[in-house]
Amino acid sequence: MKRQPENRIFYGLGLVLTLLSLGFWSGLYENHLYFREQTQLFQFTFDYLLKHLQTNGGMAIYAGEFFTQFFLNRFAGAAIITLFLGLVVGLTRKLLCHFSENRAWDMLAFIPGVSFFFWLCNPFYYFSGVIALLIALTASLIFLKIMEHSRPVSLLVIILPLCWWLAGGAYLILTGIAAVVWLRSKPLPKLQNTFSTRQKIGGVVFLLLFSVSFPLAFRHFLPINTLLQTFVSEAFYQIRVLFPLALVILFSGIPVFLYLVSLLPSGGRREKIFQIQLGLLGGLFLLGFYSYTKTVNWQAEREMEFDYLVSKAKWEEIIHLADYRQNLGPVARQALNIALAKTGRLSEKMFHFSLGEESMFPVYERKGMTPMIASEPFYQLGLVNFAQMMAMESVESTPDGRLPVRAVKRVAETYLINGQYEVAYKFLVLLKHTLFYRKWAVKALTALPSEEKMNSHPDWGEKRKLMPREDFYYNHQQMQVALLYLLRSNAKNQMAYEYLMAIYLYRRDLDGFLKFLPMAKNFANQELPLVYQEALAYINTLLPDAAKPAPSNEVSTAVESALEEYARAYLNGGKNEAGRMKKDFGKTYWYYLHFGDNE
Amino acid sequence: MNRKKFLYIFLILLSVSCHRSEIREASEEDCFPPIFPDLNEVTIPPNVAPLNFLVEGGYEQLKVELTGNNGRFTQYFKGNKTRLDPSKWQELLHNNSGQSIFIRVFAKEQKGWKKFRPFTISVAREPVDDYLVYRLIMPGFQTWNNMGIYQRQMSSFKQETIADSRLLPGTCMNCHTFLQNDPDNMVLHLRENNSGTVLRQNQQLRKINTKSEGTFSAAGFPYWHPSGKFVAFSINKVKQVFHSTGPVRAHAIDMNSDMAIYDVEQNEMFSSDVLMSEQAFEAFPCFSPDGGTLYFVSSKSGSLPEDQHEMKYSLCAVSFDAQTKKIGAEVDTLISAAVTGKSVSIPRISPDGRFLMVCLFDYGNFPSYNPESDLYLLDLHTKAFYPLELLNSPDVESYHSWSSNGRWVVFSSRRMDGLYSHIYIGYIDSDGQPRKPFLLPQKDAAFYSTFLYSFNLPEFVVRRVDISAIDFERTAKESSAEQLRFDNSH
Repeated sequence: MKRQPENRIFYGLGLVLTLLSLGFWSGLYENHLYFREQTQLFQFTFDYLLKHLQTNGGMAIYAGEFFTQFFLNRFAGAAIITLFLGLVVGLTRKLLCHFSENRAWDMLAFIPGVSFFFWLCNPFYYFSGVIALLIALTASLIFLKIMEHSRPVSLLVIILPLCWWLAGGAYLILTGIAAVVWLRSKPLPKLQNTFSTRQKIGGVVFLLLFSVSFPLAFRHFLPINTLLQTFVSEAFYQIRVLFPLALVILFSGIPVFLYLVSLLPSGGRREKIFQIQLGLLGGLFLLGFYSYTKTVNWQAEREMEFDYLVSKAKWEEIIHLADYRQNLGPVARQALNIALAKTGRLSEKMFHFSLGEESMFPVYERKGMTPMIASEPFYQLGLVNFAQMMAMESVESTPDGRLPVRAVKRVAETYLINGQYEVAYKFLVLLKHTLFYRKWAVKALTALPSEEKMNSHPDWGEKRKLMPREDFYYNHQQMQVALLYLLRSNAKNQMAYEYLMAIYLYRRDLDGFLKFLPMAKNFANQELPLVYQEALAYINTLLPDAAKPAPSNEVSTAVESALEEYARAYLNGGKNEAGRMKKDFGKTYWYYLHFGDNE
Repeated sequence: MNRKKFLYIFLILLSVSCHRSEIREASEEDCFPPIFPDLNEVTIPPNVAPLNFLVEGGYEQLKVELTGNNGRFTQYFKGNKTRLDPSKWQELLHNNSGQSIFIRVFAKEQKGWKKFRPFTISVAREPVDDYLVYRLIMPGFQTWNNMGIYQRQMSSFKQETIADSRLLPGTCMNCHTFLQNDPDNMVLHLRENNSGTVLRQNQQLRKINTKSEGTFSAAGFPYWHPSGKFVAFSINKVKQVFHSTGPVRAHAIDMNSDMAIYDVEQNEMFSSDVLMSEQAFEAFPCFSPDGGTLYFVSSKSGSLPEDQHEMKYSLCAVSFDAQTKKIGAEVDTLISAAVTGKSVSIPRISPDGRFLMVCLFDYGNFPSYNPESDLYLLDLHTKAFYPLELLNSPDVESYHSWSSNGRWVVFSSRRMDGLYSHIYIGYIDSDGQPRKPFLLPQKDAAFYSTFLYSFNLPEFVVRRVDISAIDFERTAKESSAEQLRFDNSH
C-alpha cells in the first residue's frame, strides 16, 4: 500500500522517536529504570489485584506496577516504555481521525507520547500514568465509535465512572472529548447526530456536572482518599498531596486540541499540509527541548548507576567507574567507600578520590526518603541492626507508601541474620509472590528454621561472624565507637578496621591512628597501605630527632622521597597555593592534612 | 442437563460418604492439635467473632466439631485453616454462655485422617464491648508513611477507618482515648502535618493546640475525667535510642515529663507543683471512676540517656476536686520503685474503681520495648499487688485498657515474634483473677503471619465511633487549632 506524503512524515518521525526511545532507555538512562523497579513490590496474588481494584485508578496502578517489574532488565524496560508510548501516539492519532480528515494534524498525536517520555525521566511520575492515559484514550474511542450510531447518554453514565475507576484522573480526557463531540456533533467526520444549541449547552453542562459529582458522591459514601486523590488517583504522581500542572494541561489539552482541529478546514493543498507538518514538527522539537531541560537529570542518573552497582555488589565496576567520573555525588562517594573497603583498598586509595568522612556513613535524618544505599555500609560492616534500621526507614519513607522491593529484601536479610525468623517470614512471603525475587525468597524460606544453613550461608553466615557482641547505641557522630566494638568482636573484620583508620585520618586524630596501626599487620600482606605510610611518614616529621623511631621498612623510600618533595613545595610558596599543591599532591594524605578543609 | 445434575449430586454424595467412613477410621492422636493461635482453655466473651485457627502441618482437610451443652455444629474445611460459620458460631456461643465448648479437630494428611484430643474454650457470661479501636502502624524506627486509627466490630471481622494516612498524609496519629468507653467523648492526638489534638464532644469536633507557654511540648497520653469536663495529659519529651545488637532494637526514653489537666469548657490547662515538679518526671495520668483521685507514675529526674537504667517510676496518686479544680498537694505513693526495684507505667483503673492495672518492667516509662514488661494488678481494696500470670508472656506486654463492664481487658503484646504488637483480650473475674487470653480473631487464621502492621493502643468502646471520616479530615486540616490558655494560678 502506498503511503501518502503526510503519512510518510508521520511514520518517519514515529520511527525516529522509537529508535531514540529504545536507545535512551536501554543505554543512556537505564538506571532510572532500575530505580523504578526497586521502589515497588508487585505481587502476583489475587489479593493484590483486589486491593488495587478497590481504589480509583487502581487498575492503571496495577498494570503499571506489573510492567514496571520488568524494568529490572533495561532492554525489556526500554521496549515496554517505547511500545506503550507508541500506543499512546497511535490512539491519539485515531482520535484525531474522528475530528479532522486533514492528516497534517496527525503530528499533534505525538504530543502526549513525547510529554510522557520526558515525564518518565522524573521518578515522581509513574509509568501507570501512561496506562491510565491509554485506558482513557481507548474509552474515548469506544465512546466515539458508539456515538456514530446513537446518542449514548446512558453509555456515558456508565463509561465515565468506569473510566474514572480504572484510569483515575485521565477520565477527564473522556469528559472533555465527550463535551467536544456534543458541541460539534454532525460536522465531525463519521457522526450523523445533530443537536440544537439548547441540547448542546445542556449536554455539556450535564457532562461537567456529572463528571464532578460521581467522584464526590463516592467520597461521601466511601471516604478513602483526599479530595484531590478522589479525582485524580495515585496513578500519576508519587506525591499524594500534589498533582502536577503539566498533567492538568495534558488532560485538558487533548480535548481542546481536538476541538480546535475540528474547526479547521479538513482539506488543503499538499504544500500547505507539508508546511503545517513542518510547523508542528518544529513545535514538537521545542516541546521536547523544553521538557528535556526540565526533566532529564544526568546527575541523578549517574548517582543511580552507583547505587545500582552497590545493589548488585559489583565493587570492581564501582571503582572502575569512579576512576573516570568527575565530581562524584554523595551516593557515588558512599558507593565508592564501600567498594574500596570491600576490596581491601580503602587504605590505599581513599585520597585518590575526594571522598571525605561524611561519605562513609549516611546521615540519619527524617527528611525525604531514606536512600536505599543508606543501609549498605552498616550491612557490609556487620552492623546488622543499623542496616535494618536504615532499610526499614527506606521502607517507611517512600513518598507513596509503597513497599520498595530492594529495602524489603534487605529487611528480610537482617531478620534472618538476627535469627528472628518469624519476622523474616513476613517479608519473605511478600518476595515469594514476586516474579523476579521468588526464587531467592523460596530458597531463604527453605533455610529458615536451620541455624546450620544460616551459618553456612556465604553472606548471612559471614555477617553473623562480623556482628558486634556487645550492645551500644547508634550515634552518627561517634561511628568510630561502633567500629571499635566491631573489631573487639572480630579482629579480622578488615572493613571495620579500614573504616576506623579512615575516620582517624579524616579527623587528623593521629594518636588514634598510631594506636591501632599495629593491627594493620593482620590485614596487609607485605607492606603498609600507602595512606598509612604517608601518615606515618608525616608523623615522623613531627617528632624530635631523639624520639624518632629507628629506621624501619614501614615507610617505603618512595613515600619518604615524595614527602620531602611535598615539604619542599609546601615551604616554597605551596602553603598559599592550594591549586598547585592539589595538582601535584592532591592524592596524598599530606595534601588532605593541610588543605582538606578547603575542599 | 438433568442427567448431569444427577451425576454431580451422586458424585458429591459418594465423596461425602467416603469421607465419613475415612474419618471414622481416623487414627487417634494423644495430644491437642498443633493450632495457631493457641485457643486451648481460653475464655471468650459470648459476642466475639469466630476464633478461626490453623492446624500446623501440611494437612489437606479439616473437620472441626464444636460441642457445648446446648448445641453443637460441625464444619469441614479444605486445607489447614478454619473459617467458622459466623451465624452458627454466634448461636453456639449464645446458647452456651457461662459454659465450656469442646472443639475436636480431625485433620487429613496423605496417610489418612488424624483425630486430636478435644480442647476447650470457656464462654463467659459477660459480653465484651461492641467495638475495639486501635492504631495500625508498621513497627519502624522514626519514619512512617502509612498508619491509621481503626475500629473493629468485636462480633465480626469488620474494620472501619476513623482516620488514616490516605486522608491525612504525613500526619502521625495516636493517643485515641475515650471517656469510660464512650465513643461520643473522644480525644486523638495528631503530630507532624496537621498537628493538634482533636477533641470530640456533643457530636462536635474541635482541634486544639495543647502546646502553650506553660508547657515545653504539646500534650499527649490523655485520660478523661469521668465528668467529661477535664482531660489529664502528660507532656513528654521522648527520645529513641537504637541498639546495635540483639532482638530489642530500640528503646524510648522520656527525657522530661510533666502533667497538666485540660478544662474542656474553658479551653484552659492547669497544673500544680506536684504534677510539674522540677525534681521528678510525671507521666501517664489516670482518673479514678469517681473523679476524686488522679493516678500517675513518677520518677526522680536524672541525666539522660546515661541514667536511663536508673529511671524507675513509682505509682502515685493525688486528690482532685472537679468543682474547684484543686489538685492535692500530698502525693500518695501506692507502689514504690524503691521497694519493687522496678518501674511502673500505664496505670488503668477498672470501671468499679477496685483494680489498677499497670505494666511492671526494669526501667523507664515506655514498656513497649522492654521484653520483661508484664501486666500487674493492684487491688485498691486489699492493696495486694500481683502479676497477671495468665496474661503475661516472656515478651512485652504493654498498653492495656478495660471494657465498660470491667470483666475484659485488652492489651498489646509482642509475644508472637518479639517485634509486632498484637492484641490479646483477657477475662478478669470479680476477684481480680485473670483467665487465659485470646488473640484478636481474624477471618484468615494465617493473617498474622504476613500482616506487616502493629496494633497499638487498643481501647474498647461501647458503640461504633460514628465520626464521618470527611468531618474528621476537615477538622484535622483546619489550619488554625484553638490555642488553649495555660492557667498559672494553681
